[in-house]
Amino acid sequence: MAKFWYLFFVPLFALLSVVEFYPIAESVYLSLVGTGGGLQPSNYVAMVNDSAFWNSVNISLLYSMTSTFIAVGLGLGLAFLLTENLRGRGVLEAFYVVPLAVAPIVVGTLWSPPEMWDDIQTFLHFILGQPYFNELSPAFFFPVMAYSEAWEWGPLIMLVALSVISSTPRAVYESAELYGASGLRKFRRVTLPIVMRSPVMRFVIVLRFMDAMRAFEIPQTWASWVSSTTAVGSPVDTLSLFLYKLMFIPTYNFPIGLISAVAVSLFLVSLAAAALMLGLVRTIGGR
Amino acid sequence: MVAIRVEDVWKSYGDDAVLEGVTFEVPDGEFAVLLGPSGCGKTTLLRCIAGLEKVRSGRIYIGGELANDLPPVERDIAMVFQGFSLFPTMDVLENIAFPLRIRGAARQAADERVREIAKTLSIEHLLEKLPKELSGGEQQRVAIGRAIARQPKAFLMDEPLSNLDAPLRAQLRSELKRIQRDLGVTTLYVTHDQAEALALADKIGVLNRGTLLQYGPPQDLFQAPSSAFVARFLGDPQANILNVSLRSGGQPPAYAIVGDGFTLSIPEALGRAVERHAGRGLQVSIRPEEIALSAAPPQGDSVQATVALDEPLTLYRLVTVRPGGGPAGIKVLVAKDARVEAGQGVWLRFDSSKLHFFDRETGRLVV
Repeated sequence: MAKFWYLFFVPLFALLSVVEFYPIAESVYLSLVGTGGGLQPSNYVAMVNDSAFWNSVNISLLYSMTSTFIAVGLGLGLAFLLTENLRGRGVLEAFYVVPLAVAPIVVGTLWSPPEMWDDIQTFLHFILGQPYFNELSPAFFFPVMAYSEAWEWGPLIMLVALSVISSTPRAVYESAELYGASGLRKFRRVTLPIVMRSPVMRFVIVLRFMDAMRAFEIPQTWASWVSSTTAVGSPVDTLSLFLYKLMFIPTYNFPIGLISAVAVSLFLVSLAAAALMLGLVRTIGGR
Repeated sequence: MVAIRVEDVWKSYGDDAVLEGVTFEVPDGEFAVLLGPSGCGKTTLLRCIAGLEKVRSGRIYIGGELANDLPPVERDIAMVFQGFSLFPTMDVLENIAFPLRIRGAARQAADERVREIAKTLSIEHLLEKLPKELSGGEQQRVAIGRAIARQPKAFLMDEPLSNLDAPLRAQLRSELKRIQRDLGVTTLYVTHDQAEALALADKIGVLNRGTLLQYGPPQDLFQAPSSAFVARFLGDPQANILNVSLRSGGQPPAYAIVGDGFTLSIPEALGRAVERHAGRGLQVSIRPEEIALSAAPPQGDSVQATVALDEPLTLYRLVTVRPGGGPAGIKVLVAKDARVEAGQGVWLRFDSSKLHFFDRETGRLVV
């Protein structure tokens, strides 16, 4: 019996081939079927020559970097506030964690013109007598988009920072206080290095960055408010939104080969990111 | 370098009183040790002096200055903790230099000072290592080095050796004492290990359930314990604490104490002194090394007993005997080569001037 051990893996591989291997293989195949028939890299050539594709690569990178950066700043700031012995710490903590539970599409809506900015415009204009600002210009809404993404995920960074802080013996922080560093100075000189050098924190930052690279809902909300963003190549086109537009906007004529080429490229980037994260996980687990 | 004075300090967590009116003083340059079982409040007391905890009431003076409302850093005190307390992201040099650099010392001056300190602690070869690359003993040396770099008015030490293995603990203990003598820094040290306390202390305080039972030079506590708890806590092997009652009779009255299986006559003066408390139940303490054991009946008053157990220690043997064949065990130290074996009949002689009498209810000293 011992030599038929591999039979036990048959159901697993059967399942995986249907739900995983087949779709991947199909995408790779479709991305290689050229307009002239036969297997050729013409879709990839078309992709790298497509300015709308490069636009969305840039938008995604900028969006991910900005929102991750702000989220880390927010999370660390909140963690600092919560480690200082403030009254009502528990209430604050609960309050800060709420955004984590909100669906991204709701976050996008919350920070959109009709939910927020129209009211602010009204207040500024009619109460304070200020002129209207253009809430539909990319210079305004792109930072708002990145910030709303960060607003949702900053609390995650905060929780991770707090858990790293509390896993270090209390005597470390007390020593800092006894030896002359308290408050912000203690945070900067002692707490922050501990948090930022922890593999868990690094893992979560990479994870957050990769997740922001896939962002769809928040950019999609803005795409539906700002009429100039319906076409591909607009300032809200993250890679996911770019793919979505190619598939669902009839004027593009459903370029399945190009879509597959983009999808396969994204998949390879995800694999590279997963390898990086796996490395970090092994560091966390002590190799 | 200054004196630390603690006056009637009370501290509680919720409804649990942790410190109940503790008062004592560590004179300038002395090494004082607070000794007590775990949970007695000794660490809390240390943390109150450091400023890491607030007292409920009472006063803490550091160098004559009332320190109750000062934050830790302004108390100008260094503390060595029981467990890990080094900055994990800094190497040894940066750790020791931290108190200097944070006050704006130049890097070069700080480095020089760190090297000097490292030399006295024999950790010069570790300066570039991270704390996690060090052994427990090395970590505590670095923590001590960091405390020295602080140039504090006083050292507080919270069981700094208790996480180390025995040989290292003895070695670092001697070094600590040498360093304290060299620097002449007022030091308050907390431990549950009475041997450590006796080895280090100019003064020992015994703390139990938030109350300081006795505070003074080690010999005073050893020879004149103020309570049964102190008598039992100091000394290894532990003192015998026996339940006894007083018997008197005759003209002039002859006094004797009666315990489980034995009767021992005591001098009249002692008997009169004890008599005032006789109705309330007594305990007597006698140290195992202060009992003379012989295989033949000695001259004068003695107690007959049977050997129940014989435990060889490094320098002596600890023999447990049962007087009059009763169930009570008395421990006696005898010479390594004494001819004693289990089941043998022996005679015990007590020096009545070495006996301490305590009230059985309160544990307080009677005579």
